[in-house]
Amino acid sequence: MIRWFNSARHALRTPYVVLGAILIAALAYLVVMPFWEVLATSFQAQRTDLRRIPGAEVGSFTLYYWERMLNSPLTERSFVQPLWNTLTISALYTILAMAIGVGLAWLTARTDMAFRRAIPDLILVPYVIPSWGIALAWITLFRSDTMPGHPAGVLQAFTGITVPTWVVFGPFPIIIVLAINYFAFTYLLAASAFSSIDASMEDAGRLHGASRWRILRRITLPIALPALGSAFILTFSQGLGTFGVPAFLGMPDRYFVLATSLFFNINTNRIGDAFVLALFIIGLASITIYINTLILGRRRQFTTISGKGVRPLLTSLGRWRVPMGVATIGFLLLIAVVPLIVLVMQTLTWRVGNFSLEHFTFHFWFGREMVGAQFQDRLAGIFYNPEIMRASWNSIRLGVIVGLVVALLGQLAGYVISRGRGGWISRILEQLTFLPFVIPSVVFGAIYLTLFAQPRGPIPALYGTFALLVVVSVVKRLPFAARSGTSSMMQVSGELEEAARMHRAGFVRILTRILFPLTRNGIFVGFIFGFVNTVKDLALVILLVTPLTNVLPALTYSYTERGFRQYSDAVTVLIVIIVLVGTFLARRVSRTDFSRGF
Amino acid sequence: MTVISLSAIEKRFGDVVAVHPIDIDIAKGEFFTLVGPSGCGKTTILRMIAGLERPTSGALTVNGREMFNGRTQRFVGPEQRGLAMVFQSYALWPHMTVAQNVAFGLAGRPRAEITERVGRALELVEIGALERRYPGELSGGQQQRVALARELVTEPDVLLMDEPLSNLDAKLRVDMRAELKSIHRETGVTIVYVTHDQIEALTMATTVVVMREGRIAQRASPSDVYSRPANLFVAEFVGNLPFNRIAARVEADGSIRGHGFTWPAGAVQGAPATGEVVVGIRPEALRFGDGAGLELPVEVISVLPAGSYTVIQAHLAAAGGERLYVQAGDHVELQPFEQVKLRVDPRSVRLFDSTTGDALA
Repeated sequence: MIRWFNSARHALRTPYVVLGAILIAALAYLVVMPFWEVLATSFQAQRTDLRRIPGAEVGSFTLYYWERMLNSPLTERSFVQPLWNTLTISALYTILAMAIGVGLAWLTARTDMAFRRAIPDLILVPYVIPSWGIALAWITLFRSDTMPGHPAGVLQAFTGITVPTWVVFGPFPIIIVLAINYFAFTYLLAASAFSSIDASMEDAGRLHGASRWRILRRITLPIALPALGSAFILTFSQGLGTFGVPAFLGMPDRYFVLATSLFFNINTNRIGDAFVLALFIIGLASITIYINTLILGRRRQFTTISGKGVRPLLTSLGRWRVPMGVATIGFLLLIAVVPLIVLVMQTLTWRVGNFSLEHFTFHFWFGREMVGAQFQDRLAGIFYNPEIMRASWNSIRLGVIVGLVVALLGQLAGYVISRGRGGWISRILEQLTFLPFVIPSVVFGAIYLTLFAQPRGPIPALYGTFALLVVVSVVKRLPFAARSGTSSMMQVSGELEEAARMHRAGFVRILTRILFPLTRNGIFVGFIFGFVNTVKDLALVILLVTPLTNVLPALTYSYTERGFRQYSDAVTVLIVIIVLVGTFLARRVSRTDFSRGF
Repeated sequence: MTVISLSAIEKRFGDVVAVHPIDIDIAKGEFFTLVGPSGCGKTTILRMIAGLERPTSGALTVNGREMFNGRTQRFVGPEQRGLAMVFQSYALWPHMTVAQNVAFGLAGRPRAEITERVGRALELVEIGALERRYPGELSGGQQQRVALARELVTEPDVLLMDEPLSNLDAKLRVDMRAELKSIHRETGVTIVYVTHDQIEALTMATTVVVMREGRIAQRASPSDVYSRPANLFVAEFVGNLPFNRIAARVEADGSIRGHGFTWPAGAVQGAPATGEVVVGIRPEALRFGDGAGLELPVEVISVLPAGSYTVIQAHLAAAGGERLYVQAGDHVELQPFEQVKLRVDPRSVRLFDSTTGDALA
C-alpha cells in the first residue's frame, strides 16, 4: 500500500508524466473520441432519414448510409465520381508540383545558377496568399463574357482573348492552382534531401571517371529517391481533403471532389452520407501516411549527413547560368504578384468585368453604405463595413490566440515526447499529436459541427462560440507545432534541466527560466506558422462560423456565393495584408531577442 | 561521520543491470572518487545520489535523511535533496550571463546578498571579471570555473562532480586538479567525484572506489589502489603503462618458476603452497643492471623515448616470451635484440590467482 502510494507520488512529481497524461487525455477527448463517434454515427439512423429507413428509430443501427454511398443508384454520382476526381487531381497536381519543386531544389542546391541563394527566401512569398485566393484570382483573370452568367475577366478586358470554359472551371485550373500552392512544400522536402547527400559520394563517382549526368542518374537521384518518394506521398496526401480550391473552381461547374461533396452533404443535412465520405478521406490519408513511413523506413539506410562541410559538386549551367536564374526569380515573383494585382484590380472597378478608367472606384475599400444595401455597390467599403470589420477582428484574434496556444502546447508536447523517449507516454503522445494531420480540415469542421452542437459531458454546447474555432484550429495545427517543439526540445540537453533541478527549481521555474528561453526560436516559428495558417484557413471554419463569429476566409466564401466579387477579392487582399503585417510585427517584436545566437 | 550512505542500492534499466546491489559510505569532508571504464556504473551511482536517477532497490540516505527506500518506494526528488552537482557538459544555461547562472540557486534572497555571494564565488574560482559574459563567450576552462562557482555559491555540504575535467585539454586539466584540491581544502565540502581517468582519481581523492561492470572492484586509499591492487582488473586499470603480467608456477619446493626465470622460495610474500599464479609488476618497478632484487632475463624489442623517461618493450627470456614494459630513466643505451637482465624489488611484486585474478595475500 505504502509502496503503491509512494510510487504514485513519484510519478505525479515527474513533470513529463503529469503533463503527458493531461495532453493525452485532452487529445483523446478532442481527436480520438470524435473519430469513433463519426464511425458510430455513420451506422446510426438520423432523424431526417427515418421515413426512408423502414422500422428505424433515431440512433438505431443501420447500414443505410454505407449502402447508399457504396451500392445504390446514387453511388456513381455521389461517391465514385468524387473519389475518382480526388485521386486524379491529387496525382496530377502532385506530379506538377514535384516537377517544379524538385527542379528548383536541384537548381538551387546542385548547380551554379545565378541568384540561387535568394530562392529559399523567395519561394515562401507566394505562401502568404491562401490557395483559394489564387483560385479567385485565376477566375478573375481568365473568365470571359462568352461563359453564361459571367462578366469579362482581366485577360479579356485588356487583350480581347477569350479562353474556353475548361480553362477557368473544372479539373484543369484546380490542378494548376494546387500545384502553385504546393510546389514550395515539395521544394523544401526535396532541397533537404539533396543537401543531405554527402558530396564525397559524388566525388568518389567522379574519381571513377563517371560523367556528371551519370553521377546524377546513378548516384545522386537513387540516394535522394526515398526522400523524393516521401515528398510525393506527403504532397499527394494533402490533396485528399483539399477543399477551398475545388470549392471555388469546381462547384460552379458541378465538378465535385470528396471534400466538396462532404461539404455539400453537410449543408443539405445528410450527416450520415457526409460521415461515410469523411471516413473514406481519413482512410485514404492514413494509407498514404503509412506508405510514407514504409518509404522513410528504407530511407534511413541511405541518409548520410556528414559533419564535414564538404562543398557538393556543383553542375555548371554554362551560359544558361544567368538566364535560368532570372527566369526562376521571375517565375516566383509572377505567381506571388500577379494574383494580388488581379485581385486588387477587381476591387477597384464599379462593375465586375469593366476595367475602363471611368469605372475606377475606391468604393469597395472606403465607400459608405448607401440606401438599399442588398446590392453590393450599396454596401459600405471594407473599412467601413461592420460585417467585415468584425470578421477581421475575429480573424486576427483567432490567429494570435491559436498561434500562442499552439506554439506553447507544441513545446510542452515536444518536452514530453523528447524527455520520455522510449516510454509509452512519449510514443502515444507522438502518435496522437500527429493524428490531426490525416484528418483534413473540412472533415474536422464537419465532425466538430455535429459533435459540439449539443453539450458533451462537462463541456456546454460549443457551436456558435468563438471558443470552438479556437479549439478546432489549435488541434488542427498541433501536428506541426508538436514536431517543431520536439525537435527544439531535443536540442536542449537534459543536463541543463537537471542542473536547475539540483538548484531546487520547480517545474514552472524550469519552464519559464530555462526551457522556454532556450527554445524561443521554436516557439516563434510555431506562433508564426499557427497564426498564418489559421488566418488563411477556409476549410476548417467554413462549417463552424456564425454571423457573430465569422472570420475573413468564410466571409470571402459567402461573398462569392452572393456574387459580390469585389468584396470577396478585397477581403482576400485584406487577409494577405494581415498575414504580412502579422509576420512582420512578430519578427520585429522578437528580432532583438532572436538575433543573438548562442 | 557518514554523510552519504548507500546500502544494497541496485539499478536496472529493463533487463540490464547497471549497478549490482552495492554498499557505499562516504564520510564528511572526504574527496570520494568513483573511477572505472565507461559503462561500469559510476555515473549511474552519482546520479542516484543526486536523485536524477531512481534506484531499483536498496536504501539511500544523505545526512541521515532517507532519500530512497526500495521497500516503501519512498523517493525524494533532486530539488529537495540540497545537493550540488557539476555536470560533465557543465550544463551552463547559454541564455544567462555568468552572474545570472551563478545566482540561479540563490533565488528569493535579498539582492545585496546575491550580488555579494556571487562575487565571492567567482573570486574563489578566479573569474571575477567575467560576470557579464555569456557562457558562449568563454573558453572551456572558464566555463568549467563558472560551473564550479554556480555550485559553490549555495555553500553546499556535498558537491557531486561528473567527469568535470574530461572536456579540458591536458595542461588545463593539471591546473584544475590542483585547484579542485585546494577548493576542497578551503571549503571542507564533501566531494563525490566520478571520472574514468585514474590519474585524476589518484591525485585528488582521499578514497578511491574502482568500479567494474556494476560492481566494486576495490575500495582503498589512492596509494593502496596503486601499489596494492586487489585484483588484476584494478592493477591493469590503474597506471599509465600496461601492467606486466607473467604466467608462473609455484613449485613443490616453494620456488616460483616462469619462462626463463626461477625465484627462490620465500622471495615473494603471499605465494601459495603450490600451483599456477600470475606475477604482476608495474613497469616503473623494473630496472636494468645488477644489484639487489629478483632477476628477469629479457630481449629488447624496441626503445621508446618519451622525454623525461623511456619506455622499453621487451620479450621475457627470448623472442616469443611474454611481452614486458619497462619504464626507465631519460637516457637508456639499449638496442633492439640486446639480451639484458631486469631487476625488481620483491616488495613491488604482487601475485594473483590465475583463475580469479584476485590478489594473493
